[in-house]
Amino acid sequence: MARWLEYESRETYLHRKIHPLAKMAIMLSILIVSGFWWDPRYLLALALPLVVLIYVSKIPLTWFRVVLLAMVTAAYPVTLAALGQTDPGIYKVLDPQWATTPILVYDFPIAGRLGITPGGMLWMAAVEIRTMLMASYMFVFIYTTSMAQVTDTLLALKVPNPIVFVIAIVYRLIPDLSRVVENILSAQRLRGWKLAHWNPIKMIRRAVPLMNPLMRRVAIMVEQITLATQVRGFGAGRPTPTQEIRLKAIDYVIIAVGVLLLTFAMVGMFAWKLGQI
Amino acid sequence: MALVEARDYSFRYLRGKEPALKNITLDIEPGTVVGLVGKAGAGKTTFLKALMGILPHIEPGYTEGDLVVAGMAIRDHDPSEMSRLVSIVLETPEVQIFSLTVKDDIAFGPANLGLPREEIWARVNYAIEEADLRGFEDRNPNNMSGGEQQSLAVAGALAMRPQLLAMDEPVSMLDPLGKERVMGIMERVSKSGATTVVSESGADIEAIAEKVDRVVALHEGRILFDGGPDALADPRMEEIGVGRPQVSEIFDRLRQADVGVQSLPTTLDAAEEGIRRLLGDRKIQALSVPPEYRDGRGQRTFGDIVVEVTDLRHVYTPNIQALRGLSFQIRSGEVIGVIGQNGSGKSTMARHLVGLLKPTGKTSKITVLGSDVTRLKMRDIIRKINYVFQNADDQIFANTIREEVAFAPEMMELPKDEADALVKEALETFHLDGHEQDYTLSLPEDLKTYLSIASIYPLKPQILIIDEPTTGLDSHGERTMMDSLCRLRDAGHTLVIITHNMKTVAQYCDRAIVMNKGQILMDGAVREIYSQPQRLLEADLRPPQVTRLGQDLRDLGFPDDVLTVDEMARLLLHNLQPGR
Repeated sequence: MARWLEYESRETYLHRKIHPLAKMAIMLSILIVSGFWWDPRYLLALALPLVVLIYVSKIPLTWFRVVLLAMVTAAYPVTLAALGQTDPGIYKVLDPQWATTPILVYDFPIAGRLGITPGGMLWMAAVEIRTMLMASYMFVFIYTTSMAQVTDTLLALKVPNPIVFVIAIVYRLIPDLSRVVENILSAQRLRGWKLAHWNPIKMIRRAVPLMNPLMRRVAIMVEQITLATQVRGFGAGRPTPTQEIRLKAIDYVIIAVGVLLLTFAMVGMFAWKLGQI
Repeated sequence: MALVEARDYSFRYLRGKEPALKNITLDIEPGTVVGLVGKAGAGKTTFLKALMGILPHIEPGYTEGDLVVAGMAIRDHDPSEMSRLVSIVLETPEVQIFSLTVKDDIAFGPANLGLPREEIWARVNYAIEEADLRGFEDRNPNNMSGGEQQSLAVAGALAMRPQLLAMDEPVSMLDPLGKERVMGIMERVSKSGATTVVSESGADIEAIAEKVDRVVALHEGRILFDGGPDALADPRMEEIGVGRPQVSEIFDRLRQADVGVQSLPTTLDAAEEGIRRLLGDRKIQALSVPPEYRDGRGQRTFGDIVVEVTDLRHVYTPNIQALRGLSFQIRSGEVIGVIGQNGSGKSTMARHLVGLLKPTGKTSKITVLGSDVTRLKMRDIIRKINYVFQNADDQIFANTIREEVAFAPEMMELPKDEADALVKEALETFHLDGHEQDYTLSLPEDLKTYLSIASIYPLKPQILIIDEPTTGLDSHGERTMMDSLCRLRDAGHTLVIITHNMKTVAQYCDRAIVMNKGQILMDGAVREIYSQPQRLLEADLRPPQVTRLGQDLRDLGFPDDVLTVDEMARLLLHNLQPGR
């Protein structure tokens, strides 16, 4: 079983039939578009292909617990930010008066008007959906694309070696890090440690037993990986991509869909305020 | 011409007070297998890193003298250049595995050399064959056993087509069959003409002895002696803390008793031959180790049941069953060795016992000191049973040793006097008194392991599970560690030791639990478990060398259940000196 954020070699259509370049193109398009759109309905439309991809790629559903956690964690700052969406000028499509109808609003001395408005709630929903979309699409990409495929593609695209190297290190490090964090949390819990405390200063102090070993382990891991790559010839010259980039018809179709989606979203946004609130 | 030429080569790390290598002078001829032995800190890893050019190019320091590999002076060539000639295999397999499929990982090195694609895949195929990894091409290395992972690491090194293969304690983390697998690859590679330098600090000296044709012993950065494979039997191996193969120790006892032993064997075959020669056609009078020759373990009695596990099951995903219905009991005062290859479920089982994981089986039940663990709070569990992780770096966070040990009492909000007394006791028990103010960052491996156990000790758990307490320690360190744990046992603690080291289990444990594929394959007295080599093989395990020697000599009446060098030596002397 793959660890969280780790590629797993499987016989699915996404793993075997779609070229990494096509996957990169469509996912980048979707991520960029989701960054521009603010209407939750449009964003939810982007979630439909995601459901299909999750099903086809057979990605472990347990991975998405983290997405839920991210959405819940983000909810607090996002809600705070949403409280500030009370300026009628920021709404381009919605009726500004309706969007800023105060449900629970208060005028603060320095911060100005803050509170719950219909526009603010839509804004908050958009940010949450976007968080879910970005994380989930990234998960699908990582689960179905091996590091060698990513580096080969980047090398074929003439991306400079050091950048490819950094991406490769990150790709390799993140799944290991999740295991390390889990071990550290367990080891400290076995000594009576818990992070939660009503006093925020004490809570920050209590993070030290997690952060110190984590930073030390990250430093050791980076050092070890750097060593492991150098002794295996990294830096001896320009690496050879182990696989030839050979796009099939389906890859061209996917890339074209990605480009069209991006173009449509950009033009639509500027010309007809598509996806805006 | 020698492949490696070292002339008065010395190296001091940038922050080191003393040189790690001092005036090393040696030649290594092509095609030889050199065993580089020495205790932890003797300079073995430093020398291997120097051969690869890691020193001084990645880890800087001060160099004197010359070190030349295949005509290339190390000081002028960095590891990426040297990687065309030299490959290194490190102690921990996962560190050097870079990709998420076997074939991609093997291809990583040749691709970095910029070789044509056809050449890369030809090398991948060659390495897969040599390392016996056919059928594993698309496997995720993380889902492979330790032996298979290390084979992959070796395959990655072989794909570079090195003239010199440097292996840094390559089998220390492996189960017995994993060790044999890696040693087998090393032998094949050397037969194909490559030169191999393999380091060893003692725990696996028997595995090394079977394969090397030259031994270089390092002590405090210097070459202490240099000779043929028989040098592993040299008494100085004990003095430098490495120890000798068990068969050498047995024959040394016989030699001291003057029963006609001339030379000391280092391998199992040579020892068997030597004993047959000594005994002639005589059969010995023992089908099991006679009680008078056994150590005291058989006589030890144990208390009440402190842990009771019934039908423990854990399923990670519908198709991955980590534990498949484990049932066992642990009695107070027992020392239990849990053995089995990587992925057999040892750590998952331990995590359940301390409440870090919850069973997924509906009928699973874990009772510790009368309480159902799944219903207890963590703060209550950890004072009854606790678990020391294998990697101390996952735990240590404080600046000084004292702060680290004082952490658990502080978290449990114990009164200051009580906490101070517990910290003092923990420091003394684990030989850390006098080191209280030492910085944890710069601790050597043995002190780190002591510290990780000492920092749990103030919680006074009656049952302590310790994961690989002797990994990374030399023979001397291993003995000291296990003696400390025996003192805990004598003080009334129950110990569960998860280990790959079959000698440790033979020497110190009352009972062994053998795990295989999430199930308990065998559970019983160590003597009883080790006397069934065929069943052990099902879990990729083998008994220690001394037990195997007895089993190989079964036709002469030797017992199947010899556990220690002492027992075998006494048994032999009894038969060789019947009058005494």
